[in-house]
Amino acid sequence: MTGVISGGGQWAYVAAAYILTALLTGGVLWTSWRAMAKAEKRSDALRKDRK
Amino acid sequence: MHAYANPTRFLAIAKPLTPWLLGVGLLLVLGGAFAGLTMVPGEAKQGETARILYVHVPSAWLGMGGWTSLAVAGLVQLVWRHPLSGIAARAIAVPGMLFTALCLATGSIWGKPTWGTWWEWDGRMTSMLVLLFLYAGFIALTNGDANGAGGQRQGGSLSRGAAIYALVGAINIPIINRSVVWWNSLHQGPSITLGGSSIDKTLLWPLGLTVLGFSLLFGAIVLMRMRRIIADNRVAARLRRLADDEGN
Amino acid sequence: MKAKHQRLVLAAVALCGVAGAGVLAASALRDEAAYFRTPAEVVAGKTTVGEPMRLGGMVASGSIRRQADGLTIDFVATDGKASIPVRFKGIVPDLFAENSGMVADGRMRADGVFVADRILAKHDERYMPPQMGDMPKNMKVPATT
Repeated sequence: MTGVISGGGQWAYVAAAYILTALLTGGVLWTSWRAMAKAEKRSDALRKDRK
Repeated sequence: MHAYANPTRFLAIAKPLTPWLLGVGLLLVLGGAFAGLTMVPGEAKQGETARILYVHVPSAWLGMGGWTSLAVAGLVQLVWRHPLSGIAARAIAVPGMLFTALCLATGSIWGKPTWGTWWEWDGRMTSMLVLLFLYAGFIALTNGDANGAGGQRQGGSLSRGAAIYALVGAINIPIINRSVVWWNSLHQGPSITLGGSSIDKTLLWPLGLTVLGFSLLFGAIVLMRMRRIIADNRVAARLRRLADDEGN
Repeated sequence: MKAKHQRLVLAAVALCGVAGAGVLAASALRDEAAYFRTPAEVVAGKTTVGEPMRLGGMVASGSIRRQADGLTIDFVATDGKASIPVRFKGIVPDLFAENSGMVADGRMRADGVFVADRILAKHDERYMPPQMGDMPKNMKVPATT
């Protein structure tokens, strides 16, 4: 009840927020990239087949 | 208006743009996070916990901005039948939901040490949770379009229902924005307004980096997901043609 | 071209309708969606004794009194228009302090004291580096809505 947050415990909250953000954003970036690369490869392969 | 309707023209821009958005976005986000964690002091009252600001605020902005652009795409689809608008709306939904979820999660983590609670049903938190459910509903609705009995909708366009859903859902955006002004809430009022910022300059600048950086990453995710839908459409169209050729 | 204009008008009309409905719903919810009630609202008689409610306000300057048991505190919640004495037994958040916002769950007692069973701290929209944190309370604050 000091009106101020102090002490080392608060870093755990900061770390949790940053790690969660990094994991989820990285996950969506990675899956979006993989799905795009796979789909474009399939599309390109099919185009070459027709030639 | 239809100058960029052609997916080929769109891809000519999107393909070189994607790695740039990714690279610059990652640099800005990492730089902003580093600055927010190490270069600025803790806040006078909230101490180190205020550093959560640098990931919480970009998430809130992109969660809300995501739905705004999703609604615009829905409107363009509904009125002008622009072929790329439906693809864009589909591509925005997942990153929009991601950042809305991150906003809620980082806010909750921030709320415990400061307010003394993980979650309260105040106007801001409740309306943001509604946005998360709106995204989930839109994703379910448009996935049904693509995989339902009728097969993929032509060119990845939205059904009329999904486009109207996107427009109607947009009413929640000003409600989220004004929730802390209209109603008594646990969440504090807006810090950054047209009139200026009540975040001190020494604490504000990393926020600029992360807001811009996450926005670029959001753009990169949208471009990647649009490219994926366009490629899938092309594969489907070619397979249809091949099947027709064999049939003859 | 004609059909496109028709769709545009239709979309505009629908949008106005939805926006209107939203504004109406929001204003109807004005009281219902409030997270807490202010001391002025309580004094104006919008509450009944013993009914569970949430009270929000500033902790009045110099009003915190810690009782002998070390757990019970008394303070005054104010919104500048009215003040209500509050009694609470338990642990308050770190940010709970005089001249800061708080929200309390509890009920009004017949003698006009609000007995709280949970207290949350409310932070304002200002973020300052530590050396500026001790600035005078009456210092001008950038106007925000």
